[in-house]
Amino acid sequence: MLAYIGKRLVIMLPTLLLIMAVGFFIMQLPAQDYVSQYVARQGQMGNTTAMLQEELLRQQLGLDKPPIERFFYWFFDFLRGDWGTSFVDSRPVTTIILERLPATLAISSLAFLVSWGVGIPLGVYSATHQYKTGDVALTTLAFIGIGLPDFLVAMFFLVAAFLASGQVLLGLNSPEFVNAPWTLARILDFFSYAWLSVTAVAFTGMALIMRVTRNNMLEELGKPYVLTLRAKGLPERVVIWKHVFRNALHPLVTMFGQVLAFLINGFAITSAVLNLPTIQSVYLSATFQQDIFLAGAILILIAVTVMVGNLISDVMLAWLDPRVRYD
Amino acid sequence: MTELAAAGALAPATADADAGTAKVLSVRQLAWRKFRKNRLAVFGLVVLALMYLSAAFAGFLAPYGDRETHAQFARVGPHGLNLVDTEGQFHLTPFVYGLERTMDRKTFKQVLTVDTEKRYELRWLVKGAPYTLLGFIKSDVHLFGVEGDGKLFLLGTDSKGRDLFSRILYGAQVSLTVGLVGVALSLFIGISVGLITGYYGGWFDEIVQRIIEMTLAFPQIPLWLALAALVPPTWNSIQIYFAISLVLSILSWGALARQVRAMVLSLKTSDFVRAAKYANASTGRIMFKHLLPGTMSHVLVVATLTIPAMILGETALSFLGLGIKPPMTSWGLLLNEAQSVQVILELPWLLFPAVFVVLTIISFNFVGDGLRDAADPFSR
Amino acid sequence: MSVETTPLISVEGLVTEFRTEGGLVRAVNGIDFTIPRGGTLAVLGESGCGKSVTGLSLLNLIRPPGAIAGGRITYYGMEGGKPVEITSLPPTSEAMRKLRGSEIGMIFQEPMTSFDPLYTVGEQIIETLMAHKRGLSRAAARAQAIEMLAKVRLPSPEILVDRYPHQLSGGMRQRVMIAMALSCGPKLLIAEEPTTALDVTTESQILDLLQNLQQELGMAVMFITHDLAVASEMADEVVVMYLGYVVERGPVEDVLNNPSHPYTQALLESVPRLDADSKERLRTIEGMVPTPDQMPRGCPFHTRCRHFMPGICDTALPPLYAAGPDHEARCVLVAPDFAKEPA
Repeated sequence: MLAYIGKRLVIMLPTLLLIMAVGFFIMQLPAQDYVSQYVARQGQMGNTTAMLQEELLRQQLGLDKPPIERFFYWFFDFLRGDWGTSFVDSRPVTTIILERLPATLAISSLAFLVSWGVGIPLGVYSATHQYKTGDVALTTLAFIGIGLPDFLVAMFFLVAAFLASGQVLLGLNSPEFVNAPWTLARILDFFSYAWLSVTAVAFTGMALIMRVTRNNMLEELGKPYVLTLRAKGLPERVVIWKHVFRNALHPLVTMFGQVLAFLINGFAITSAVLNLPTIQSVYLSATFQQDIFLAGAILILIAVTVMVGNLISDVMLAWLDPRVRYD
Repeated sequence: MTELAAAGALAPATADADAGTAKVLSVRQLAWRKFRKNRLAVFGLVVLALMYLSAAFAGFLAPYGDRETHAQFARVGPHGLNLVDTEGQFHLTPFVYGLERTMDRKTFKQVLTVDTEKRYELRWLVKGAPYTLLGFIKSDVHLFGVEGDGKLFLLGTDSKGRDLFSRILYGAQVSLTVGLVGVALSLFIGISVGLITGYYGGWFDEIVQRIIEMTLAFPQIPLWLALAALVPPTWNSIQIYFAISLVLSILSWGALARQVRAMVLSLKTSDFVRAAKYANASTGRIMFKHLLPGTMSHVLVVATLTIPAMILGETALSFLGLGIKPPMTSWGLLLNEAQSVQVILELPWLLFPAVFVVLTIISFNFVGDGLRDAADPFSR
Repeated sequence: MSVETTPLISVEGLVTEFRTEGGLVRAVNGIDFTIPRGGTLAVLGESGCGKSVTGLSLLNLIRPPGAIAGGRITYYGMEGGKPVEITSLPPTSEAMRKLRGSEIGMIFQEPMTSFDPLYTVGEQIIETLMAHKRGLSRAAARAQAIEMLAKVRLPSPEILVDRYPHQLSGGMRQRVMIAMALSCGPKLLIAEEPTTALDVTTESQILDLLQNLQQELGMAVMFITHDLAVASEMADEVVVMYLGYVVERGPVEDVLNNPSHPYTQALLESVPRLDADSKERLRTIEGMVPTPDQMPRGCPFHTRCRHFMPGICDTALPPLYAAGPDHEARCVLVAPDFAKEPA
């Protein structure tokens, strides 16, 4: 098992290298770099001295060197933990990311838990009550979740919460707590406030998990061994949860990585709509402003997260299924 | 669960019957038969057919042009057709009431009132804004509309006084096709790469597999955002449109290439391909005559299931301002107007494009599922 | 009836239907039979004749869109002798669940797909034991499982108990399946084509095993099969089914030596024989079994029958006529008042 994980990690390295290279060059491609955007903006504000400093600025930021050279500087610095400095607010990229990491992890892990924790039981219910009212209602909900763009899901939740509470639940805390230290009061406030963001982020993933669970369950329920289990006189509860569900879990486990990618996908946009202090919303503004080191670092982080998610799902599959071998 | 007993007990009989009739039906007919049995898939196919037809004939079906503004009628809610008037009298021809803008004397705000005194009957084939159909038919006849001072805003108007219904139809032209172009591109790349790597294998295959793994490890939307941000703002609508489809296809060819490769690998060792090799068929002939057709059914399924992701991608990019740019319009761009809770509460009808998005995505999923089942006509 | 003369289970007028897109399909169409204690009944027929549905109906395992629509199944084997009417118990009821496995066991055709692949075979026997025996400890259940594996003559049962189904051969799996079905000491074993998926040597071993176990444990067996040889080897009585109807029934020797229904005759002729002239072509039954939604009028077999008589066979369903002592057939040719035409 350990050897298998090790082998997978080794295979990940060249992939990671490729991702870094591609990520970096995508950031380099635009004709307008950060400096020209900056100069243009200053020019609009009537500050013409910036125009004279254009080359100097570029030199300061290291943007005058050829891209290949810059890539290697960036690459080795990156490995050493120096991820560069954001052009926009001149702070180290690592600082910006670390600052937003707690909120990002809190929301995404909560959303991840909610999407699995709610999606799976609902999917099982749907499958065991096929074509009954509950199943039809859940199926409709799931299709809306899959069909609705993420930003609209977030919008709908915002509007619904506003109609219910009269508050616009943007962000993770009510305004008086945004800059407060993390006291118990702030944590309570977080939960009364952040449920909206968590549900909005989790919704699409939940719909997907629910559908896949339902389909897998139905497929497994049609298999001959279920008849054997029932003919043995096992209670239906045992038939469903101990046997059918565990068999249906397999395709779900392989989806672990996919759902993670899904969450991250939706997260970028939901964060923007709900104005969440997450890494994804910084990513969005960084791509808009050609803040290449920041955007590049986040893109790599995201890709690594997805890769690790895929690895975890493969390892879990091997662990769950006695038929899978590691070689 | 419900089919369990039936499958166990009745299946042999039905399987026999199928085998009996299979002799006279081709695989394609069998697949079509099976697809037809899936009611959701047929529903999806009908919806999609209607959607694409309306998009193609948007100019004719829309009562107004996509850029036609009715300045004094901005922010009007859905203003639909009536059959019964305020006096309870029934009219055979649907009609709309007149709209009038007046100043509220106390608040000095513009208010819109429905003038039930004025009735405008619905007319077929009305002359209106000129348009070009399918790129070459120029006309100014619209399927329906009202004449004179009457206005027909089926789904309301936006902040600039443009008819939302007409704009949704025009937006469909972009939103529904951007995914198609994207899928066509990724089909082209995916099939070529899959065929070549599957057929030749070796170190080239290894490298390509690594690259595909990488594309699969990239979460789509962040990469789409990064790429869409590269599109120079100076480009015109058509250039942006194709740039966006290119961006959307950049990640999805990998999955297709894998599918094709896997199928080619298994087909390569089959008897008919070996026979073709012994008969000295050229590599190209083997690839395109023998290997490619065998992969088509699965490619079709993957393609159908890829389009909805691309359509959602377009709406997301346009919503964030990184996608389609005015004066072109798309569903995502239309939804871009509904950016805040305030706007949605005041002008909830601006969310109508979302209904079309959801319907399209669901329909594609239904059709994809139906095709997946039908692609294997001999399975039960 | 005294205890000695009551059968173990009786089936009267059983009708099992399935709701399909094409309408209501009757998979079992009013069949009657009884199985005596310790006796063996073979239910014979081609695929789709309703024999599997009959087996599942006995366990009340027909699930929507199917349902038992009529008739009565009564089980007389309960401790204390109180008859239980299976057809009056809801399929999902606790009383029905307790009956399955402990009173009536079932083994299936495909020993590979009939096990949950994710649990060891031992676990699958243990859970059966624990579902029926209150207060049984896990360790005791495991010991019993090993004992059962030994009873079906599997080598080194204490090792096999921890094996997964995919690690065993087909014959071994079927033995485990038998061990599992018999673990709670059922008085009736329903065996649905238990040897169809096995090769010939394994098949005879499994059949021997079943016969020995039946003698040892004194249980009754209902053998569902399409194989005449298996039926003649295993059964005392035979019921021949076609399209949900019983077309012939009687003592196995009698039915197989003097088949009275054209369908049974045709079935017998389609079996290859070693002593037959090798130049003679094997006879097959013409045509296909009609799908249940195209149920023929009159005698269900008339569409394929060699002796089909228009105006007689396609008008009314013939009743079961006596063809010998305890031997009946559903064919007008057997009717006592039917004037046999000269051949």
